[in-house]
Amino acid sequence: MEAITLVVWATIGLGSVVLLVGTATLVVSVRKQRKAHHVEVVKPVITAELASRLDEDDPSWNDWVEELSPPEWSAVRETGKRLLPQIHGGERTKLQQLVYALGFTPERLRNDLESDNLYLTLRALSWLALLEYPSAVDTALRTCTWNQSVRTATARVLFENDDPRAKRTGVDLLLWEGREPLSIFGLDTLYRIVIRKPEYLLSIANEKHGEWEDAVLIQVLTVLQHCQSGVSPSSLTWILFCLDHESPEVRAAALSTLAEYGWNQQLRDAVEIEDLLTDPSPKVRRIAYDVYGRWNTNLERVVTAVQDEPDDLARLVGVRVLHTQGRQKRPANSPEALERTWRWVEAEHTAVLEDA
Amino acid sequence: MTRSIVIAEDDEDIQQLLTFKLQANGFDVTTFEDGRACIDHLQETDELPDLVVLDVMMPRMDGFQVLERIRDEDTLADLPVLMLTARSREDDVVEGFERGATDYVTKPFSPNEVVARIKRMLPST
Amino acid sequence: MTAIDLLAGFLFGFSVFVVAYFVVANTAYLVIHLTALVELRRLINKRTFESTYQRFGSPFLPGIAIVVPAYNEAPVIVSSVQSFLDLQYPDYEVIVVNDGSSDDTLDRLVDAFDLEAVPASPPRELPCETVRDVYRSTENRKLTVIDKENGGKADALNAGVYLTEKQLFCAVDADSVIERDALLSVAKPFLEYPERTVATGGVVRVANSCSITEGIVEEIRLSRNPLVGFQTMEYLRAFLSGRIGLSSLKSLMIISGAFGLFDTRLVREVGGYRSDTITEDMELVVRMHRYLNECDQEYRLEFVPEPVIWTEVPEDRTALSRQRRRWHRGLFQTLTMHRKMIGNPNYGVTGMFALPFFMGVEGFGPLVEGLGYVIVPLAFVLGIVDTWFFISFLLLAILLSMFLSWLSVLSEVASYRRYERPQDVALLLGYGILENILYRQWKTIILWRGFVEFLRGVDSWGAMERKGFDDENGP
Repeated sequence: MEAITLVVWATIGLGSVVLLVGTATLVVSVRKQRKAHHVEVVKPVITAELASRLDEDDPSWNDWVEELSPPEWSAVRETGKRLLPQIHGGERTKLQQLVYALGFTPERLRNDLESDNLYLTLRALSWLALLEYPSAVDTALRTCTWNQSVRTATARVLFENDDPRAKRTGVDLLLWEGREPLSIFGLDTLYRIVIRKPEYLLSIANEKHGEWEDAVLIQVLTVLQHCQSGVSPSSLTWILFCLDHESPEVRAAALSTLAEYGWNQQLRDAVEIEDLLTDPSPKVRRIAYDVYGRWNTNLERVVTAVQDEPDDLARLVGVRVLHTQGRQKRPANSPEALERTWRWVEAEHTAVLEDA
Repeated sequence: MTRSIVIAEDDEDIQQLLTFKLQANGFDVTTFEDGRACIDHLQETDELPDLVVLDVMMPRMDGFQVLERIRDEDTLADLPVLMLTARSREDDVVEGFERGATDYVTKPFSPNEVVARIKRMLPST
Repeated sequence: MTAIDLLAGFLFGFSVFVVAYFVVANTAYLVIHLTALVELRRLINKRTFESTYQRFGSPFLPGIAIVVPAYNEAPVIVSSVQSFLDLQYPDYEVIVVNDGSSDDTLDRLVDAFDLEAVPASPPRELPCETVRDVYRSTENRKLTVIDKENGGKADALNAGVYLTEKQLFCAVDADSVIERDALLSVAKPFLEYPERTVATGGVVRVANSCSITEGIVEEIRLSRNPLVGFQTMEYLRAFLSGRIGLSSLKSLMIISGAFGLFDTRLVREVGGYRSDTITEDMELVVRMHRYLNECDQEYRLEFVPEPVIWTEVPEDRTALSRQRRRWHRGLFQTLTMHRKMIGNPNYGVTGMFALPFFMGVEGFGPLVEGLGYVIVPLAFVLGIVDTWFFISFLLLAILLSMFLSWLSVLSEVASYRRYERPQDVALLLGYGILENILYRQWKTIILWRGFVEFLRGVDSWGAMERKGFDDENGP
């Protein structure tokens, strides 16, 4: 019968595959354990040697690297890779030289940068961010723009290398067409670039914020929120238009950003903060309470608004604002929800005072 | 007189690097990998160190908790404490100083600079 | 036609049905496991680089609240809370919810962390049983404890979910130990796709026989207790193959209650955890899929194989049987609640593949298998099924199951390698063979019982069970 033959053969076939998988598992397990064990044994010696050489004026890495056995070599590479992002100053330069001696040369990185294997390229870019190879940076700018994660990593390379192109090209690489929202890594990169050199981002935002996806616009606003020290408030007037945006998330982000620059009278006067206290979206009202409290001494409007605030979190923010501004007497005849929030904030406040 | 320093840092590489650097500068160094071990040592020892270096994110009690305990204990309260951490967000730095850190250095850091800061923090003899 | 003929016909027909079912179910598993293999290769490749930035110094990482429901956890609570306080993540808080424990769980926390009651009730009505008090630690600003009347796990989770102001929350079990870098690692999809990710889940591993001190796993060992060993094998298969595969097929329907990270606002929007469900973790995830599909929203719900939480699994058959019956009842309950989605193209992959898979293969699969154990041998004894066919089929079934198990052991060894010692790996392979004898058959009986209980409507936790959630987590 054919069915039987089929099943018998399937069994034999599968049996051999299973045996193969089992053997492979054991072999891999033994080999990996051996390797790990070797690295572990040499590691303390290696780290001590590394520390002592780092302290010398000329660490002569080349001589040292040549003498290393394969497990020692792995240990050095791992340690170098872990230390490099954590160290600044003279030791960093020496660590970079060590990485070069280990074979991470500009030529090698350039090869990987040109590859179309995503992770190989990203790996090369993350090395490049730690090293200073101007020639490889040029290669990256030429070839590494084909997807968002690659573009983000390239922008980071420009920033980490203190490349003057970061302020324009870096920002362009990150925002690209304004369609795809950034990763947190991308946000952080944009922030680090902009806090140093904000002009370009502000000028294209002024021009193009209407074309960007909401998510991207919100991210740019969020970045600007953290850049107070670097940005001049007069370049932020375009954000005022975002206060009328149809998406509540954009309105909220715009208001949060403007709040940070509220020390500028002109900007402050241009925001109709009282209207925003009654915005239909609780997200906007949460920010509005906070901003109102920071900008005004007369808090009657907030007192009235929190009375009927239906959103729990917005009410909480509102009451916190009243408290930090020294308004500590609970309004008479307030609704149960407000009473409750008030008592909580009161307790929070006392706890902070005791703590300090 | 040799000055002594206690370091609590769970990253082995950083710990070794700093130890080496400080020893080369003539300090006596004792190291711990977690917060609990560090505070236990400080509470029990007869010879207090001249300065403590604390990482923030450590197993078994974080650096802020250790710092808080140091400041709460009469015998330890005056110890200079340098926080050395990757936590460089504004609110973390503020929290560090609020809790009584003498200095707050964020990673990536320059080992030479840390040594200089430590020397500056110790009263001259 | 005689009665015998009729019986013979039935037995033959059923045997054919079992074989057909076997083929369909195993094809599904094979597809999932092979997809997992491809995905794992990608993940390992991806792991070779780290984006160069100081994560802990970036102002953009989302804040996380770790929500820890605790009922009668006095012996372990202090050490596990300390371990939750020591994680490597810049912006997080820990909210322990004491769910009306009858032991001194709360007192121990008060002593260990210098808790002080906040002299006010929470700023809003929390959708859970009455909250007695909220405590804050004077020693560690990250820690908050909610003391409330007993209401079960879902109810306790809701207390934390609705109190926190953090953007994400991470549900974990009080008796589990989380690895220090696991929070950052489970948050990675949220960092990569902050606008789309709605939930992620990490790996649950078996802690029995590992040595754990003060909330840190010092040494990882595989248990010599076969019952625990079989479960280790199952967890490995479920997490390292099953969920990686399902996740990459956009069909992840379970994020273990022991370790999952969620968008707080979205979970509140869908109504939080439901306390009338048997497996609140699965039900929530299915409800999120439902909601997001109905809103026509693009979203990512991902499994992350790197971060690990360690948990104790049952060591005796009674406890294990109770746990598995509950899971199976919960599976059918969730499927019944959301039956509208099953096979419904409006729900995309969830409706057309994931839920049908969970119903047909995970739900009914073991039940059909159980029947097969009775009927196919009967057919064989009566000479209705050919001897050689029977023997080869039996062998094929065992081999296939071994193949899937061993493939996940290979994945483990080639990737995250928590079991470092080759002898543990060999033992694990051994468990992959032995589980086919008796354990597997025993499980079908247990799951049948669970199914019958479901039909009879035993869908509450039962007076005793309602309180303990020691058997909460798992595949």
